Parts: sequence; C-alpha cells; structure tokens
Amino acid sequence: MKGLDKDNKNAVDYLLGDLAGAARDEFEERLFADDDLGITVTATENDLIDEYLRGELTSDQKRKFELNFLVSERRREKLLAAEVLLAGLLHNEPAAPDVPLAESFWARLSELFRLPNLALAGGLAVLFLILVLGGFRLLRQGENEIVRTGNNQNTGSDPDTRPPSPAPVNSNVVANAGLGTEPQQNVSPLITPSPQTTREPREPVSPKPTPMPKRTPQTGRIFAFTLFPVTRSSSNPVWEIPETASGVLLTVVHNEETRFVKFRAELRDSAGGVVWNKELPATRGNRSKTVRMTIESGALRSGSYELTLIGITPRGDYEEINFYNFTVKRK
Amino acid sequence: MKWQLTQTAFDGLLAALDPDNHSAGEKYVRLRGNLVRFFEARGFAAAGDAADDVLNRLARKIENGGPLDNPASYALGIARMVALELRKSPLHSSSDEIPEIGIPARDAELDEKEGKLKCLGECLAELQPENRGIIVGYYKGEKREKIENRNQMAKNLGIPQNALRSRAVRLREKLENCITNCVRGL
Repeated sequence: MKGLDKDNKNAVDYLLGDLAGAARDEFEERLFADDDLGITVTATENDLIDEYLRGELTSDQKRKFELNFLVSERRREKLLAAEVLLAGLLHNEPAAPDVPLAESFWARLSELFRLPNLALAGGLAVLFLILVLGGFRLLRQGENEIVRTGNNQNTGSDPDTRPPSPAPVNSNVVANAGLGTEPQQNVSPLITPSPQTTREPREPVSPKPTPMPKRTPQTGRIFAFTLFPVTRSSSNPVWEIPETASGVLLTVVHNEETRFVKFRAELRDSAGGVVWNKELPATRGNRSKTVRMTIESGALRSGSYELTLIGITPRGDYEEINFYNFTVKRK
Repeated sequence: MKWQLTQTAFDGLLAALDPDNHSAGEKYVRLRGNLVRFFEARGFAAAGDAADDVLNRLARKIENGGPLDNPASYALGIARMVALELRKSPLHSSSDEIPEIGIPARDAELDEKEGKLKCLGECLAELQPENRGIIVGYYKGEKREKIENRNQMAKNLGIPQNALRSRAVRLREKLENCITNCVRGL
C-alpha cells in the first residue's frame, strides 16, 4: 500500500482499525458527507482484500486485517468472493497469505531508504518538516484566539454595559434575563468526547485531543431561556443573543416520568452536525420535570438548531425523550 | 412495544434523502454501506443489523418530525448512540467472539473450485463485454504494475481516475454479490 494519497492512507488506517478517537470521528464525518470518499474507502477495501490474498500486506497489516477487518460476515463473504475473482479473472491462483512474520522495524526502515525509495523518503521528510512548522504556527494562533475569547467574556460581564435581555419571540420560550453569574460550574470544552470514543472494545482509551481553553473566570453574561415540548400550534422560537454573551442557561421542560438517572443533551446545527453535547445529572426530588444546562456562547452561531434530550435509565439504556427546535440570531 | 418500520416511514426516509426516487435509492444504499462500515470499524460482528437499526430510527425521526437538512449526518449521530447501547448490551458480540476466518484448507477447497469457477463464469457472462474488460484490467497486476495499468486504462477510456475507480467498484460489487449467491447454492 505504497504511494497513497492522504485519503487512501486514512482509508487503510480506518479499515485496519488504526484510526481512533478524534481522527476517526473526523474521518467518519467526511465519509458520511462525501460520496467520493465513500468510493475511495470501498476501493481501498477491495485492494486490501486482494493484497491480503496475494500475500502483499506486511505482517503488521496482515495481523490487523485478520483481527480488525474480518469482523463481519459481509467482509468474510467479500474475501471468499475475491478469492474466486482473483483465481478466475487473472488465471492465476492467489497465493496464500504468507508474509514473513519476523520482518523487523529496521528491515522496513532500510527498505524505505533503498535507492528507488530515496526520493519518497526525502519527500516525506520535507513534508513532515512542513507539517511540524505549520502545526506549531496553528497552535500559536489557537492560543491567541483562546485568550481573545476570554477577554470578550470578561468584557461582557460588565453589568454597566449589559444590553437589554432578549425578548421572547414565541410563547414556548421564556427569556428570563441576562444573568451576571454562572449558576453551574461549567468550563467544559465545546464538545465533550462522545461516550463511545472512550469505551472502545479493543482500543486503548484515548480521550479526544480537544484543546482545553485556559481556565479564565466564567463571569460573562449568561442569557436564560426555557424550552417547552413542542405543541401543534407552536412554531420555533427565535433567540436574539448578543455577541458579547458568554453562555446560555437553558431550562428544558419535558413530559417524561422521572425514571432517568441521567440525561444527555445533544445540540445539532441545521446540517445535522453535533455542535455541543453534555451529560447531565437528574435532579432528585424535582417534580417539575426539567433539565438545566449551560451552553457555551461559542457553540451558538446564527442559524437553526435542534436540541435532542435523551434520558439514561439506571440500566444505562438511552431513550430519546424529545426534540426541541429553535433559531439563534447573534447580534 | 418496539416501533416497526412501515412503508410510509420508509418512503419518508427515501424522500428525505432525495426527491428523485432513483437517486434516493442510491443514497440509501450508500448511507447503509457507510453505517455498516461504521459498526465494523468498532468491531461489531452484526454490523448490518446495527446499520438497519439506525436507518429505522432515522425513518422514525423523519416520520415524527419532518425532513432533516442532512439525514446522513443525522444518521451518523444516531449510529454513535446505537454503538454505545450495543456495547452495553449483554448480547453484544465483538470481534473477539468471532470464529477464525473461514477460508477452507487448500485440499478441501479443490472439490469446490470447479463449482466456484463455474459461478464466476456465469456471473461474468451477465456483464457487458466492455465492463468485463474493465474489471479484468482494473485488478490485473500487482503493486506498481497494477497502478500503472489503472492509469493507462483511464487514459484509454478517456475518463478520470476517479470515474474509473467508481465504475470498477460498482462492477466488483455486482460480481461479488453474484458470486456469493451462486457459491451459497453449491
């Protein structure tokens, strides 16, 4: 599998189980959005199967192929069909996978630097250098942005410069006020790692490398809204949130019986992408059937959103409780 | 009572994927393929069943709440939740529990070989001659030779590499399905 472009390389890694955590999430987001990438993955899947049958995979790839790739009946059937295909189409019996198991790292390294591959190795070295320098620069820029965000939040917390609180546009929304303080401790990153990324069956736990913002005091202005279950007569509420707001305190009212030990809230933009999510404890002794959460201001740009409220039972089952749609206007 | 997929809900899902029936069908197959891979990437043996569960939930969501802006992306979100549920389920079968891959020993395979090649012949016969040429040419050769073959084929056919790859993928899928069904009947 040499000479592959980045998508091919990622596809190989994905199929062999080498792509994990945030990299895998990002790849899957693209896979579900980009038809071309889907074809690339299918083509790579076919090539991997052929190379396995011909004994062209390295010992490491062969091990991962057998362990991680051949997990489903579909793929095992593909393998058998490919065996027939290769044997018949090419009039050439495919070799049984027979790759030397003791291929050492040094052998592979020295193979890379053999004369025909020298240009490739040099190119990779230059590419690596560019990536390192580029990454360093991006990191520097990221630091500056985080600091700027913190400054904005602090500025927004000045009570003398508070704009009027957003007026409710719809009857199923109650805009309480711009609150000066944060009622819940909430300095989590924009999107917390999805639970499944930390509970992989065969991968070591690798939390998403989401950069944690510097812990600046969360004293920015908070805007409070309440969402009620949608009724036939109600339309989507529109929230006007100033750019200087640091967050939204959201109270979500639901009709479900109080049998959930926890809740999970997922906020999606109009494209269906999750822009924010959080697991929330159930409030004991609270009969009002409400869930409160604070959404960081940065997660809300102008546009339409859907909040999914999911209940988590004592057995750990997830049940969708309700969907709440609203529109945000930043001003 | 567990929700069951109805014809109306399925039609609603297809309509949400694309207003055109044919395109909707293609998008459905692609989305299901991506979902199957999603679960395979997490080591789920019953990846197909899990993918169908996601599609059912998506159909239900569309039936209850109207069309979505991006059903595929929404399906990905549902898939993440289903994966989480499955991992906690006592019925979950991971790759650890899967038996060794069923490639029979070469000697035992000899009896079946004739039948398999007959299947291949029948399946190839269902393809147009031009398409037979593409599938043979696309997978001919090894490593660098294979890559060069493909470049040359794309030039000869006057189509970009991506288009050739897409055609080869579709043809192979068709052939593989045909071979699998035929071999099952042996």
